[in-house]
Amino acid sequence: MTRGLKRSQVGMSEEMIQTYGDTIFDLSHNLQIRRGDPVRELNWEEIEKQKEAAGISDVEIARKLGLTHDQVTYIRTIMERRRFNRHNYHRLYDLGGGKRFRTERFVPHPERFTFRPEAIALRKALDFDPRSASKYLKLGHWNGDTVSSWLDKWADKTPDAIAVRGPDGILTYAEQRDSARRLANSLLDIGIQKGDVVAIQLPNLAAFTTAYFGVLMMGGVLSTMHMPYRAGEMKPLLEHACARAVICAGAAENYDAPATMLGLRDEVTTLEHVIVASGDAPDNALSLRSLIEDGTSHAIENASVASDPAILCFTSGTSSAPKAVVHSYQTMLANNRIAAPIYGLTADDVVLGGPPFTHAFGLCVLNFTLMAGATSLLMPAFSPPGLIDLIENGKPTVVFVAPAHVAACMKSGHLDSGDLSSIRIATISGSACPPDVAYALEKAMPNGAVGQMWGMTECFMGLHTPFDGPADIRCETLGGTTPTFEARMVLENGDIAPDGEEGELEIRGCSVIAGYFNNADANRTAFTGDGWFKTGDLACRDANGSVQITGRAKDLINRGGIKINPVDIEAVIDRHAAVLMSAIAPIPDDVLGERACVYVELQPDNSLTLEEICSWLEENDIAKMKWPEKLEIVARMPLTPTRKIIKGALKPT
Amino acid sequence: MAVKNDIDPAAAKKTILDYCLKKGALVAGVADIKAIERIAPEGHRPSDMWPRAKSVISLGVGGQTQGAWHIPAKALGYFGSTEVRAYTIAYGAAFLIENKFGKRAIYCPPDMDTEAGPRVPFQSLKLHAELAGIGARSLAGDILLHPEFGYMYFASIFTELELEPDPPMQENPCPTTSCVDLFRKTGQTPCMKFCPVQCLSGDIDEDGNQAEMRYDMASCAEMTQQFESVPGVLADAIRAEDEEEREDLLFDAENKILWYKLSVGSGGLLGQCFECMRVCPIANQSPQADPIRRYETRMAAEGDDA
Repeated sequence: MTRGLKRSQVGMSEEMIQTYGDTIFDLSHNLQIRRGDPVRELNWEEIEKQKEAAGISDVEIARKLGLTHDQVTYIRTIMERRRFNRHNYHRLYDLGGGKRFRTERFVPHPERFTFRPEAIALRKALDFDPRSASKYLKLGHWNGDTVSSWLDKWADKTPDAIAVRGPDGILTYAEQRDSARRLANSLLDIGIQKGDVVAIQLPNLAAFTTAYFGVLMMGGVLSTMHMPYRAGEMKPLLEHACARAVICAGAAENYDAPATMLGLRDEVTTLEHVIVASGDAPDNALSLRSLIEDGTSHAIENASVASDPAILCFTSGTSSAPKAVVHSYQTMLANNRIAAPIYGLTADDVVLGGPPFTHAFGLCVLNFTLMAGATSLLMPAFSPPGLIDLIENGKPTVVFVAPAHVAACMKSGHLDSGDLSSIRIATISGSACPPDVAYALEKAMPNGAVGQMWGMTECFMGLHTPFDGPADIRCETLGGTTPTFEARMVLENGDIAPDGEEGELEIRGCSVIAGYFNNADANRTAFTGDGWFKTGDLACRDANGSVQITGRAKDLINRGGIKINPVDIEAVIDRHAAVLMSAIAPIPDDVLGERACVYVELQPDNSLTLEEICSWLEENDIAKMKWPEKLEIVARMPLTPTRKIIKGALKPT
Repeated sequence: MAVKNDIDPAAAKKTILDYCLKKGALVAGVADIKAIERIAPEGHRPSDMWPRAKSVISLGVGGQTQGAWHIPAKALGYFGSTEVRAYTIAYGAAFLIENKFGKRAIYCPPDMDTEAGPRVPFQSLKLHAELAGIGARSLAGDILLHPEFGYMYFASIFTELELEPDPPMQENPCPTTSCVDLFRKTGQTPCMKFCPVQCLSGDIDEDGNQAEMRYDMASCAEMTQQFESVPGVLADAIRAEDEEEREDLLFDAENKILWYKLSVGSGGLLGQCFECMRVCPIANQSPQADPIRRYETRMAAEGDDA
């Protein structure tokens, strides 16, 4: 607006701006051309000749174009506003201070990296109570550590130390970082961005650790898929995670993972890449080995920081509302730091983790090993002789196992016959451990002590026994809370249970997640809003502060540490023509802790066998590990007034 | 005002220019007002502002300190305020003329013409200085350079006092030999090469003189003159899709600087660019282009006197 005059006063229309705008812009001072040095030389002829090229004033333009002075000024200033790119001043930030500006190094703001909407949505899961977050930061429980910074530390400090020893390879810390960097750069090259979710379904192999470090190094979020899962289970999880790529094993006799993943790629809208870790990648899939070999080894520019999401694990359920746990580096690595004094790990340790890396427990062990700069001894698949053989040959000094591992070795006789002398500490975790199992393991280790640990995907390690404590504490209880954590047992009426009385275990600490990703219903029931997580486990604490898990508030079946949510399976069984309604409940098992028993009320004049149910489940892509192992036909299902099945009333015959 | 009729123009000129130098100007001269009238665009001639002006005095002060050239552009902008020193001297000179010679004088407003909007100054201080012989146009967008003092800030005084004009500089120091060499090899002088928005281009003739200077002022201004930022941010905020975006637009660190500058107003909006002058051998390496060299020269001169 010229001198505060309106368009109607200047005699201006948008059409006039369009008509004369470019000409006025070019005639004005916006482009100045001078030939020779006529003013200094007072070369009047040239001065006159070049006046227009040097840029003429508004009044001169007005005379030339047949417009009024006001109209020219109006159009010129409007054109300057419309043409000028305001964001160009961002270049100023790249100037000076010892830097010489290089156009090729400058990326305009509008072209700079932008997180995908899915990545931003994922970050909403990191919605911590600000009071708790402030406390953790102030106390240093949360700091700037990332998995990559830990890997860098050891790759620089002890580059030749063995980081990973597995059946598919041995990697030093320098080699592990190099392969991870190459993979990270290749992932960026194929379009995976910082904040994207990369799913993985691999056993404990060096390929897994490289994928883990590589994905995290480039800022990705690794989402683990349990090995027994098939297309039916994985599809909702991949969709929920908005996974951009999936890394899987090569085709095997009993499971063609690449074909399964390629099929899922057609169904999951965000899924773009299938990366095959072993063997030849089929058409339309990428080879993990090639990505590592072809990738560049330069450091990642836009690397992760500690507050970024690092992993996304699913605790249970593969339905449309799975419980997706997102851990930042701060929540994930804080747990390792604060528990470190209990284990006393050093760079000289060799750590054998029984749990798969697709479980939070497995990743926790891997991070523990990395933190200490120790060696990870990998066990891709469990069998009693295989575990004992690995211990005898790999000579781990630190072992993490589930009760089912130990129980199976006991039952097969391998525990007593094996040489476990290398072990200095063994931690049992994953499910409630019968005391005789813990005592048996301790007896089998001439130089080692047993300890127990309780944890969940939502919080990692929350209860520990001290390794220097009495045997009854270590073998019969879960000990006390992990340093800096708080635990309480809550009665049904909301009161805090006194010592010795059973209540639901609630836990709070710097590794407890803020809530499940995109599952408001689960968040309402599982989180208190001030940092307490309702674990669903029943527990009581004795006068000495040691905690024992006494039961389960939830319906999950804990089969050897694998949590099985019966809801999805019941839904499939209910669809069987012979079934009126079904319910799955746990039955105790000496080895696995629990097994699944299905209770069925049949349609009139029908019959059904366990084999027929399993065939039905197989037809419906339900993983074998979820199949019930016992069938009970009930005449009438016990129901509440609102027709909910009363599972507590179901007992096996 | 008591008019003095026995003024010796030559003595008056010396008095005025000596005053400017004594107060901190590196160089001063008198421009030919008739030439200015012929060259300046209509509306920006001395007569458009003050028809009674008989003479135009131009002075230049030193620009950045040597250290300032080495700091980031966003901070360097604050040192542009050294130009205020030139304005102060010009104001003092105008005051001196009126008090000592009884002739009206004004310190020429260096700011923008409010009718024409930003980017259009009342008067071209550059033209005054060039015609006063204290600077010559460079390939760097016609920024004036001086062979002894390099890059300077200028101020002008208009007065009714008639003074003998000085001629423009005999030689143009731009381009230097090294600039010509680079141009011959790459087609660009340092100022052209390192301009972040490539707003400079041109040609050098066979004798090593400027053949053509092309200055895309619009591109330069896009980066260094953010007059459109405040209304632009407000307009964007009005059009924002949601509250989060609106909050970002109004209150993110970069945009909050706009409100800070509006409310507190110190320094430039974001700072100037100065890349062309950072790499200019004349701006940086002229004998007295920076205070360190000027100090050394003065010390050496005092040593000679002793």
